[in-house]
This record gives sequence, C-alpha cells and structure tokens, in this order.
Amino acid sequence: MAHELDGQGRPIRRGKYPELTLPAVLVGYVLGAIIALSIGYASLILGFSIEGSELAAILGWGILRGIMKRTSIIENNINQTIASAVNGASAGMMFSVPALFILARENPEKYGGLTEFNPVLMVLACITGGILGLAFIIPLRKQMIDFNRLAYPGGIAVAAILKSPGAGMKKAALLLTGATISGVFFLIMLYFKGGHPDEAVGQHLGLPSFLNITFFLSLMTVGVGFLSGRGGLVFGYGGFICYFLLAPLLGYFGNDNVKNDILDPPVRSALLTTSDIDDIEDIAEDLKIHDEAAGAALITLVKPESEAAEDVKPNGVTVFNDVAQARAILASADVIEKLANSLPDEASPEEMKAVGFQSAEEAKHAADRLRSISRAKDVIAAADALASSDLRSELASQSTAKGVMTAIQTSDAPEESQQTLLKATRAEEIYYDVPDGLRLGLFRPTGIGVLIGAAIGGIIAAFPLVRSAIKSMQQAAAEKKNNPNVVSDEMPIKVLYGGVIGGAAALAFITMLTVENMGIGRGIAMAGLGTLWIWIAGVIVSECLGRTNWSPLSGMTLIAVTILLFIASGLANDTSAIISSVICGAAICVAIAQAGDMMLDLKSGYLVGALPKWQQTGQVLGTWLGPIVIIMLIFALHDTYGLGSENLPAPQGAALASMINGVVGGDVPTWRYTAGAGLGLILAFSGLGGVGVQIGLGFYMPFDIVLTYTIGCLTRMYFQKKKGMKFIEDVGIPLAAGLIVGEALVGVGNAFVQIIAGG
Amino acid sequence: MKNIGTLLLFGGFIIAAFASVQQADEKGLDWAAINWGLYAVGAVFGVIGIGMLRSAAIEAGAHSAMVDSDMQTIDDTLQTLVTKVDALNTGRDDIGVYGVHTHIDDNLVEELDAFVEVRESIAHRYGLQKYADLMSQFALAERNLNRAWSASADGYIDETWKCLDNAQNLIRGAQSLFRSYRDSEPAA
Repeated sequence: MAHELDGQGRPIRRGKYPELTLPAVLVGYVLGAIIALSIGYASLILGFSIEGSELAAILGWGILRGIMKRTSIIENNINQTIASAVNGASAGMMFSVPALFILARENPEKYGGLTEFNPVLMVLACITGGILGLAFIIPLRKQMIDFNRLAYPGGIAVAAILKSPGAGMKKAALLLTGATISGVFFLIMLYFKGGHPDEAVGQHLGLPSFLNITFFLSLMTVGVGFLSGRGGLVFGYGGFICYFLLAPLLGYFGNDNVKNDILDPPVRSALLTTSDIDDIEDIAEDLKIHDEAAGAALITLVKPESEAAEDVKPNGVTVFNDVAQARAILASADVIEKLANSLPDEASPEEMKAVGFQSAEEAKHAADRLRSISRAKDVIAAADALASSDLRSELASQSTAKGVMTAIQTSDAPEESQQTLLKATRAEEIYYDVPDGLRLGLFRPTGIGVLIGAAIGGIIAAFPLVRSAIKSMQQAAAEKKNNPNVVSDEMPIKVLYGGVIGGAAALAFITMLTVENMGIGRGIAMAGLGTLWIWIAGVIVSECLGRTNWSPLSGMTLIAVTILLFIASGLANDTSAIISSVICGAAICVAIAQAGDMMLDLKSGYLVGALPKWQQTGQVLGTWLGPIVIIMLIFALHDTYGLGSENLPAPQGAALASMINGVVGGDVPTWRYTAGAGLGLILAFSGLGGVGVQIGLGFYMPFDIVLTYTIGCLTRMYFQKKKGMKFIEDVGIPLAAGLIVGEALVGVGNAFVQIIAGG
Repeated sequence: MKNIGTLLLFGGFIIAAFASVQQADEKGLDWAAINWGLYAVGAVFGVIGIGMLRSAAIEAGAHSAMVDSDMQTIDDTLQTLVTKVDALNTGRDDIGVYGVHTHIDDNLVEELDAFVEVRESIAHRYGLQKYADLMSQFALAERNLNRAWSASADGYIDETWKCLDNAQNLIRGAQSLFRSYRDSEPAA
C-alpha cells in the first residue's frame, strides 16, 4: 500500500489506527497457547508460575511488526492482552487441578476416585470462572487505574516494551541496558546460588535470626520497587512490623510455645525428616517385590523414626545415636545397587515388574537417593569426630538449636569438624529457619486475614468511587441508547451484569453436576459463596498487583477451597466433597488470575492509549482457550509421567493437596484469619488509601522479597527528590522496566534449560 | 490531633497484631490461640485513632495551608496543560505527525505528573464524588494524549490529530470542572 512520506521519508498513515484486529487475535491465541503450555509445564516442575505479559509483548513485537510488518503499538497491546488471558488459566489451573491427582497418588485407597472427575466440567467451570472474574473486575477499572492511579509495575514494564519502537534511541537503550544487566545478574545468581538466590546479611553480621535480614538477590524486585515508588513503601512496613517489632516483642512477651518452639527451637532428629522417610518407604516398597526381607527391613528401619521424626530430641548428643540406622540405610543402598547392576540393559517389562523397579536406571536412582540422604553420611562422620571429644558432654547439656550451634562454634574443634557437626545436628539450619516458622505459623495466616478485612473494608470505604465508576458506565450505556453514534470507551455495563448473573448461574449448574449427590441447595450455596469470593479476592489480587506487583493468588485459593470444602463436607464421602470443591475452586482460581491479569493489561493499555473496551473484549476472547489447552496438557503429562511423581512433582498442587488433607482433618487456623480480618478492617477505615492491603501483603510475603523491594522504593524516592520527575520518566522508568523484563526472560529460559537438562 | 490519631491507630494495630500472634497453634487451643482481651484493647485504640484522623482530615480539607497550596498547584498545572495542549494542537502541522510523541514527552509529562502528585487533596477538600468526577475527565484526557503518542510514533496522522483534539477538549473540561468546584466554595 502506498503512503505519503514525511520530510524524512517516513510513511504517513491515514485512516483507522489498527487495534482489535484479526491478526492480533490470532497471534494472541497462538502465542498464548505456546506460553500457557510452556509456563504450565514449567510450573509443574519448578513450582511457580511466570507472568506471561512481557514475553507476549516481546514475541508479539517480533511477529506482528517484524514478520507481518504490522505498524500499531495498540494492536500489539491487544495481542499481549489475549496471549496473557490464555496464559491466565495456566496460573489458575496448575495450582488447583493437580491436587486431585496428587491426593489420589498419595492415598489410592481413600482418594483413588479423585482422578475420575469430569474434565469437560472442569474446563467449563474454569471458563465460567474466568468470565465471572472479568465481569466483576472491569467496572473497577476506573477506580483502580483512573482514580487511585495504582502503579502496576508489571503493566509499566509491558507498556515500555510496547512503546519501544517510538520511544527513541535513548529510552530503548536504557530498557535494553536494564534488561541485560538484570538478565546477566540473575544468570550469575542462578549459577552460584540456585533458583531463589538470597543473601543472609543478618546471619553474617551475627544478628538474631528472627530479625530475618536476608535480601532476595533480584534486580527485577528492585525494579518493581522503583516503579512503585513511595506508594509501595507501606508494603515494606508490613514486613518491618512482623520481623523488627512483633518478633522481638514475642521474644520477651510471647507465650512459651512461641518462645520455645519458634523463636528458640529445640534440636530435632538429625537423621531423617518426614519427607526423607516418605521417599525411603516408597523405595522400600519397590525393593520388597524383589527381596521381601530386605524391603521389610528397610521399612522397619525407618518406621520407628517416622513416628518420632518431628519429635524433639531431649538434647543435642542423642542425635548421634542414629549411627546404626545411618549405616543400615547405606547398606540398603548397596543392596539396591547390586540389584540394578544385575539387571540386563534391555530387560522386558515382565522382568522389571518382577523386581519392583521400572528399569535398571530407576533402581540405580533409588540407591543414589538413599545415599544422598546426606545426613546419613554426616551423622556417621560427626559421630566419628565426636568419639574422643570433650564437646560430646557439652552437647549433651544443650537442648536448643541455638545452644548446640553456639557450643559447636565456640569449641576448640577444628573448623572442618565444626562444619561437619553443624551439618549433622542441623542446629544451624533449624536456628535460621526461625523466620519460616514465624511466617508460616503466625504472620502468613494473619496476613491473609488482614488482606481479606482490608479488601472488604476498602470496598466499603471507597464506595463513592466505585459508585461513580459504575454510574459513568451506566451513563455511557444511556447515551448510546439515545444516540447510537456515540462511541463508548468501556464494555457495556449490561454485558457485565449479564456476565455476573449468567456466570453465577452457570457455576451453580456446573457445581451441581460435579458429583452425583450434590443437590440443588448445596450446589447453589457453593457457587454463590464462590462467586462472592471471586469478587472479594479479585479486588484483593488486583490491588496487590497494582501496588506491589505481587499477588496472593495461592492464599486466596486456599481460602476458597477451605470455604467450599466446609460447605461440601456434608456429602456422602470425602472424595465427592474434594472433587466438587476443587472444580469450583479451580474456577475461582482462574477467575482471580484473570481479574489480576486484566487490570495489569488495562494499565499497560492506559499508558499506550488503548481503548479499554477493546482490551476487555480481547481478554474475554482469550478466556476460553486457556482451560482447554491446560486440561489437555495436564492429562497428557499425567498419563506420561504421573502428576506428583519425581518427574513431575507439581509443588503448587502438592501444597493445595496438603491443605485439603489439613481441612479434611479439621486443621484450619480460622481464628488467625478472623483476627487478621479485624486488623485489616481497622486499617481500611483509617482513610489511608490501600494501607491495609499493603501491610497485609507485607505480613504474607517472604521478608527477603520485601527488603529488596524496599530498596527499589527508596532508590526512586532518592532520585525523585535529587533529580526530579523528568529524570525518573526519562531514565528511571525505562531502566527499571528493563530490570523486570531481563530477569523475567532469563527466568523463562532457565525453566526450559532445567526441564531439557532433566530429560 | 492528626499525630495523636496516627499514633493511636498504629499503636492499636500493633497491640492487636501482637495479640493475634502471641501464641502458636497447638492441638485443642484453636480460638484461645488469640489473646482476645488484649486484641480488643488494641482495636479500641485503633478505632479512636480512626475517629481522630477522620476529624483531622475534615478539618485539614477545609482549612489546611497545604491543601490550599495543592489547590493552587492543580489550578496552575491545569492552566499550563491547557496552554501547552492548545499550542501543540495549533502548531501540529509544523511539528509533524512523527514529532508529536517527542513533543508530549518533552513538554507535557512533567505537568501531568505534577497534577497526579497532589490530586488527593481534591478529595480532602471537595469529597470523593467530586474527586472521582474530575479524575474521570483528567484520566480520559491523559489517555487520549497517550494514544496520540502511540499513533504519532506509528505515523497515523488522522488518529493523532483526533486524539489531540479530544485531549484539548477534555483538559479544558477538567479545568472548568475544577474551577466550578473552587467557585462554589464558601468564602473563607
């Protein structure tokens, strides 16, 4: 097509500016499906999901502009909106659906029937959930983006990518520089420190472990903090309150069970943890088929320990009484190794079945696993080191991890022996796990409650803003009725009302069909509460993403499944209750993920001047594909590798499965959620916008992330004060967006490398 | 009063938070894991703090020198924006379609940020409803400028001009709305 040219020979284009076009939709579907499959598969192995918007924007940039010679920033924005909508199902379903397979695998007698859920209903429930999530969140666009001006750091990063063709060389170079620095830095950290690199600065400085001064070594997190600026600092306050204020207070005024069990934990069994025992029992069962006596001996060996594994040993020295057991475990490994070596390389399936292991390779792997319970070797080495040492009696008088650790570190034993002893007793490991105990047992459940209370209170307190946003959509609908030529910016409010009502009804119908004995009343109750929770949790997640870029999706889903299990608990058996709750819970999880993704994309859209209604339409158009792609992936992978197996551990699903076991066993800290909700309500009505949600998220998140994020906030505040807003806009934002993009891309790349390397 | 209110709010929050985590979970403890007596004390402090903060906010909205200064900033910023967008629109043929996005970056971003920085004072002075109405208008203007930026970078001349026209009308509308709020204020 011929264009007129400007003075510099650039084409001047006339007519409509391409936005929601067929190429954008189709490329969005293709990229979305590829990203959802890739990230979904990676999350089953690595245990976390990766936000796909940045990747979709970059790939879309290459395909739409590079290959298809398209020329519209806002068209690429639609492409990334659709692609990330397809991927939204990945985050939602990979957290929930694998739990059914894992429970069935762990306890086939009790939960074997869980895998017989109806996949079509699961897909329909997830599509319905996605639509409900969008119908609830879209009317809040004005409140969150136009009125409250939430930062959505991820949205800013995507917008920076989308705008890069026109942003000029300087900004593009800054974006690329930031991406390169953070990508290379993350690669180095991955190489030297592994998947979640951090630095325990407090430990190096000899500070008490409960202060938890550990930094997450992630420039992406610094970039996110930078983009959030002063507004994001309150997120840090939540963490500071927990570890710098409440933890020391608990040390002085806490009840004994906090002081003794969490802040000053006792030494525990040195040899085996419960997960080690589970692994050994699996291996022993296989070994039993080949050699019943050897297998039974191995089980007997760990059985008494399994009952006492989490029990406190009375003092530090008794841990070395496990020496005989450690030697026996290593001997069993030798038996299995011998068995593996005796098998032919090309043994038939029958031969393999006869010996218990699937292949010689698997048998060798089992032997290695037994040996790699490194504490078996450590315990033997430590016992040898202690055999003729005065330290033995000193350790015998200690009962806490800190006491044992101090005794070892202040002893005259050579450095090498000290390290062996610290490793064997697990004293150092247990002492520096104090923050985990505080977070998982106390701060995280309280934080979930604060988030809920703050979100509900926030909705009430911001009611005039919400009303104004909805009123403006209603006015737009009325104007359109009076004058059909009026172009509205938002999706019609009637469509959204229809989405909510129709979605809730569809979810109720689907829930009724999930199990035979569900009943109308229970189905409506589950879907009704589920729908209400989608609204509340959608607001929480969208606000958290907007203020900090982190989403408490897992916590919100855990609450949803807890509520649903409670309602479903009257069903004929646990299997029915779990199937119906997980199907409805998966719908809620997808809904929440879609709501958060929609707001993030709408922020990118705002920054590139996209029309919200086309983005909203694009997101709805992308909602159906993700659940279909993901359920097919889940079944294909389960048939090939087995979900919950060593090849496909699905850590997020395992977490939900463990929580379901807890709920079925009556183990839910409702009291702490309730107390937290009261705290959240107080903050919500303080008139300090968003403070409750941010402080709640600070309680909920690991403190190493909070600390590193705070560095980003403070850096922005410093430069804003010293160099002004222009410097922030021209230099800071492109550089910070680059930090996010670089690490995200390396994260995705690393996931694939790990999967390929793992075979 | 604001300082005392803040102190009571956060003091109460800390007390109630401490009561919530004072005791770890143990079998059979359940709801007794929370020190509800201490929790109630913290909550009462917090609620009194909220009351004082709210009164202080109403008082500040009506009379604070800082809010007065912010109102002036908003007025000045809107005036500057109107002038600059008018100038951009008038001179757009000389600037050329590909020059618009750099012109926006160089001349308008600082004013837009300045408005956003002090925007919450509008709610303190005139209430949430009027704040929402003004922000609706302002955000729409800003989004049109952002769209003009994108269309300009891609060389779409009709869209760029249309968005600049829209932005001009909307920013003028925001200014009129804000001035109507100020005019309706009772004289101090």
